[in-house]
Amino acid sequence: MRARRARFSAGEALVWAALGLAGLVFLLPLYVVIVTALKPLAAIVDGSMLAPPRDWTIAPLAKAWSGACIGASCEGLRGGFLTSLRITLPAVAGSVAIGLVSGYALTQWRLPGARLAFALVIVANVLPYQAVLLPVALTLRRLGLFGTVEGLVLVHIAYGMPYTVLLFRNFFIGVPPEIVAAARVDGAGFWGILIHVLLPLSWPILAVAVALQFTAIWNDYLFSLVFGGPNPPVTVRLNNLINDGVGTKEYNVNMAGVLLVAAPALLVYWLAGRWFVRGLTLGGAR
Amino acid sequence: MRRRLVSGRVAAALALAPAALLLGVAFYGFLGWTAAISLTSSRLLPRADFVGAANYAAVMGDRRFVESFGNLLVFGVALVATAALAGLALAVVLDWLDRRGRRTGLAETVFLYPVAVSWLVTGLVWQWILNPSLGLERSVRAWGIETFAFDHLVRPGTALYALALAGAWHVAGMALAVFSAGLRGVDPDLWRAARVEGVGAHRVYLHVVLPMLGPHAMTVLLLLAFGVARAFDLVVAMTGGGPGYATDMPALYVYDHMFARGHLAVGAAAAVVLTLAAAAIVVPYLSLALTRRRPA
Repeated sequence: MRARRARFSAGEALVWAALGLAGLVFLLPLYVVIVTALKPLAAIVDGSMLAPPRDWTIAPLAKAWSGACIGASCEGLRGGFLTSLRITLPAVAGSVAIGLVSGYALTQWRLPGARLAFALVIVANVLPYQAVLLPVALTLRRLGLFGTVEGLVLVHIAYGMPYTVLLFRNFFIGVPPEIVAAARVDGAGFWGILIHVLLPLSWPILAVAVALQFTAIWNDYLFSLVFGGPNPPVTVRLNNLINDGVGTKEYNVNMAGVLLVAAPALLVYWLAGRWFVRGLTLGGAR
Repeated sequence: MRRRLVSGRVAAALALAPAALLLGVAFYGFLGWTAAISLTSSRLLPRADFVGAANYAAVMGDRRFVESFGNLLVFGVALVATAALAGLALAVVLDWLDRRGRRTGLAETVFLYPVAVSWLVTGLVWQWILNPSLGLERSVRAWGIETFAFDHLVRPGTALYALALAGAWHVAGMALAVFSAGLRGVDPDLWRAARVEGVGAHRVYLHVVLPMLGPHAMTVLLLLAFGVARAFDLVVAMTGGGPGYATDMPALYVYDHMFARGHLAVGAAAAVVLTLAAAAIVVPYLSLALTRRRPA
């Protein structure tokens, strides 16, 4: 019924115009970042923010990547990029794996207390992180992991986990129990059912979980700021570059930095857009 | 068969151990630890003494803390209202066009991409757009609209609204996604009947479809409220709490006392108060999540 095309009307033209205007407002920040990042500084100080660059230059991007001064070091965002990747990849794998296994165990095995456990997971999802910062810091120091990549991986697995459990639990609760029951009759055990029966059904939710965890962990600022130490993830360096800088403000380099830091998350959204949206409506918090 | 089930359940319980451990230690254990620190006189380093509710009295008697809660409320209501209404309006428009057989995929992409960037990047970009001397204000004035003002971030009376605008840009797509899912779930027979009866689409939306979106509106409000409760990054990126303390937030107050001023116990007490405030939105969320079997 949706396929039937209605005739174009004057009212519809108005609606499209309004929608186009809203689209321009939503695209404005992206446009401003891109044109600012590709202009020489003089063109920014003398010209309009909205004007497209007359003399295109990738010098701001190059400087933000490897030459901009953040504090005493003038090596750009490159090092932070690497730190962020080394944290994000294992933390995504860890939190998704725990979510997968736990969501499955909570729904398909009728364990006593599963409902209470799930309630505790939901509450954990909305806990303000400020309430745990201090114990995490003290624990990481005790373990010798404060300011290390390993420490932040652990933190992101721990605090990303309730969200992945929620996602997988909401997915597996929709899997008909007959499928699992039949596999059980055939002699499959806990891990056999997960690997041979449920995993082949689960790739959409896996994509959702990976896309959302990647963006959430890559985008993290609070944990990175508090536990990042002397070699922090890229978000911390970006904020230091822009808000703690001394001397002339290089707006083009700043926006080039923004573009570089936003790029991986935008890339994931572009590659996994449909799943990304599904995750937003499936899971809830974040 | 029976033995299989039992051994499977044992394996399931063991498989839950990592999640249970993290939940018990990193969430509920650490929350308790913070609460315990809030009852001590810890300053730069934790101390194991007991001073009762003294830190709570100090926090509640601190004008900065009380006003930061007021700021959070103004910012939160402005952000949630803007993002939810924008998301709803866009969802209805896209749904209407969809029902007329138009392609709306590109539009959805445009409205949803801000969700993928971080609160921090959102803040840094809008800080630049709101720059009073080089930002959008100057560009629009150069077109001849001399009275255009867009310097709200640097004025104490309006800075919270400028923050809310930036935040709404970031999360409106989330509201759009949830409302769109709700609109797609409307029974096609309802639309068919309305067409047969000759009822205008705007009246169907207003009187029939929108009232059906109550649970989705609830989901949107709670989702956005969680975002607001965690809006530390956005404020750090855009104002650092300024001008003056005009955009100070409880989360900044906690961070400041714990990690900049070396007053751990006061920061911990503030964190506990913030958690209790967040609990106000947890309770309705919990009932929503536990009663609904299929996701929205």
